Amino acid sequence: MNSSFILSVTTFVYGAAGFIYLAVWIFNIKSMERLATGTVIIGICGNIAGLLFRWKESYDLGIGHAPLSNLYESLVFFALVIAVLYLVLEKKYNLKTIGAFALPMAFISMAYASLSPKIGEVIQPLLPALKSNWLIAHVITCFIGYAAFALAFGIGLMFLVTLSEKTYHQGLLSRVPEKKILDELMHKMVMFGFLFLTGGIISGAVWANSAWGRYWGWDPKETWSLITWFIYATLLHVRFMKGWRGKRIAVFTIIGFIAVLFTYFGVNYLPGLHSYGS
Amino acid sequence: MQTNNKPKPSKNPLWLLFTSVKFTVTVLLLLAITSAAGTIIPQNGSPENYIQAYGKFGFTLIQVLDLFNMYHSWWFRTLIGLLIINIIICTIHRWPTTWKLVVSTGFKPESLSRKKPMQEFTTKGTEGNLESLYTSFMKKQYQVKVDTIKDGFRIYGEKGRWSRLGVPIVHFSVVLILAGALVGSFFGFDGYVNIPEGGSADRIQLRDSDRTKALGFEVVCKDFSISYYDSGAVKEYRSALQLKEDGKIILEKDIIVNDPLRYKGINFFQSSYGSLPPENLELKIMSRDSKKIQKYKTKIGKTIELPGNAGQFLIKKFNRDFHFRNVELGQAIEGELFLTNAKPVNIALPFRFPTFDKMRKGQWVITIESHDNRYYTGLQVTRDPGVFLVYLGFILILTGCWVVFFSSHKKILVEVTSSSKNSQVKIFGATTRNKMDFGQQIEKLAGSMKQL
Repeated sequence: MNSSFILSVTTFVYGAAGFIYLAVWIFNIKSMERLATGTVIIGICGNIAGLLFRWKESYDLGIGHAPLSNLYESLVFFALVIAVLYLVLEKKYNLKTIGAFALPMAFISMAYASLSPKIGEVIQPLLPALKSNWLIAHVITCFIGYAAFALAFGIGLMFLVTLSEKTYHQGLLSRVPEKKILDELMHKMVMFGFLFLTGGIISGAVWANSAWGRYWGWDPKETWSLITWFIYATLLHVRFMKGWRGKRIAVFTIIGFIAVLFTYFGVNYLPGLHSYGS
Repeated sequence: MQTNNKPKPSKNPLWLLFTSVKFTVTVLLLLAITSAAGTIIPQNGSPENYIQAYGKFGFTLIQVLDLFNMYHSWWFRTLIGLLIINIIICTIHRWPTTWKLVVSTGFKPESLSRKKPMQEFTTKGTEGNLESLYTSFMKKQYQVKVDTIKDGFRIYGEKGRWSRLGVPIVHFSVVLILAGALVGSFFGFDGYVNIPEGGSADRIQLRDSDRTKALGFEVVCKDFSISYYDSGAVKEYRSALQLKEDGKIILEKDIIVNDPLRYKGINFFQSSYGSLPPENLELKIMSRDSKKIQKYKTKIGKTIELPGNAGQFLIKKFNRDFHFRNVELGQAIEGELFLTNAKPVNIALPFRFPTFDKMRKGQWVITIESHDNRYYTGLQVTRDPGVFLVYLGFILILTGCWVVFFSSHKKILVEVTSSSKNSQVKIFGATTRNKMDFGQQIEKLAGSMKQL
């Protein structure tokens, strides 16, 4: 047993879970609901086990560090947070259909991590700049934030898909949560994500100050995280103050998530200090 | 926030502008867009690069708008300034209302009971025993007031009034962080200094200016070292530093990346390094005819006498970046060989290729037997008295966000009207945030009350 194997299996478990949720939604197979939830739980266990094994393996190699140090590991962790956050939502509000949007994202994240030829799966020793206690705090806060925004995006997408349909109370769409609930959930996820994005930016700033002697330097990754922060801050203001709801907020969650993705991946194509993230 | 007690609109148009959400949203989005532009247009490049990339006209435009250093340009600073004014004015504008809501003890049940009840049920109990039962139950979670109405009573509960302070706290923290940044830019500095191993410095070069700055004490670099992983990747850069004031050692510390030295508000960070000319060299000179070898211990700038008065070799200089036919060979020693009855020959001795001189096929072959590796350490030197404010802002903004997102001002009204047989219970409620969770809570509350 090694971490790569466990994580590849987990990728397919997430894929299967996404598929089952889709089936539950599309064909209204109530009997499979519990199977879907069970599959997610298995996926989460595998994901956690994979990360723990990887942690142990890094110590066996004599370069021990938490499995949160490069793009591969961050994608694996991202998938984990998406799945866990989704499961919390499902339990708390008893909504199954969102799984059809959430689990595919966890699957894509894992699949991208293991299949993209550009992403190294090998456990590497830490660069001098990454050797800091802030690494773990920074990565965890950022990715909880990103995952919450991913779920907000998934719910936003769901909102827009159901919006375009006229026959709202029939078939597929009758099994989608009410618009009011979708709107609340989007907002909840955005607030949660915003808190953690703020924490991520702050932990990064404090870390930068201890490594490079400055808490802010307009490095592209820093700048893009701030742009993302501005976008979600705008969303919160138009919702709180202007009473925007539903469709407009859904569009906002999509724009916001594009900014998140650019902060995560796009910035690696711009020059800057965060280049070890690639 | 979502409250009926909105502050009165002002008549002053400027005040109106600064308190409008449209203004806030415009500034936030402008900041987002311009910040993005700054990540696409390379910052702090050379004029030639800009002209090449954007043409003459583009370059002029970039220059006029400070686009090559846009995060420090007048217009970007103006945008940040507008955001600050916006935040301050909005906070002042809303403060009286917010504060009244936080401290007010008066309660207006009508504002709640006008809406549709969130839960309703009938129970067998009668007014008298229900009142004490429900009151003590509600008291566990809420601040409670009871009064009587026709045929019954009503219990008014409230909690989380202080959560209305979350928003002002977040806004205040943003101002605090930017104030800290301003303090840093006025009273702090950012510079660097390169110190050779064994050397010292008491002045640093300031970044973004030609000036140097005296530190008031002396920094000695006793040693610089690099260690590697088995894979060849760098594991650690380490500088052994020593601070001296009036010749006395006051502090000694090894710094590595992520672990700087701090003294009197000045911070020294491991930032770069480089190699220095070797102090001591050992050269080997072989005669091609006799295969006889002679070794020399020498230094740069010295001249060596060849065996049998054949000539001299002058060790001219150290080249950090030697190129041979456009191939980069790295560090090398360059010298000149003077043989009797021959033209002087230039000779290069790259460190990486000790037998390089054999290729010359000369009468004498010169190789480097050994040399010492000397480094200088590159230190980033900063002082930022604003950091304290910035970090305070960081703590406050997280606290504020937590309050805003996870707590809310909840009001609840339980109205009980009794007839001779049973009692009708209606629960009304209002919250500033998280309506869905509040609905669940009220449902649970009603469930427990039925059980009482």
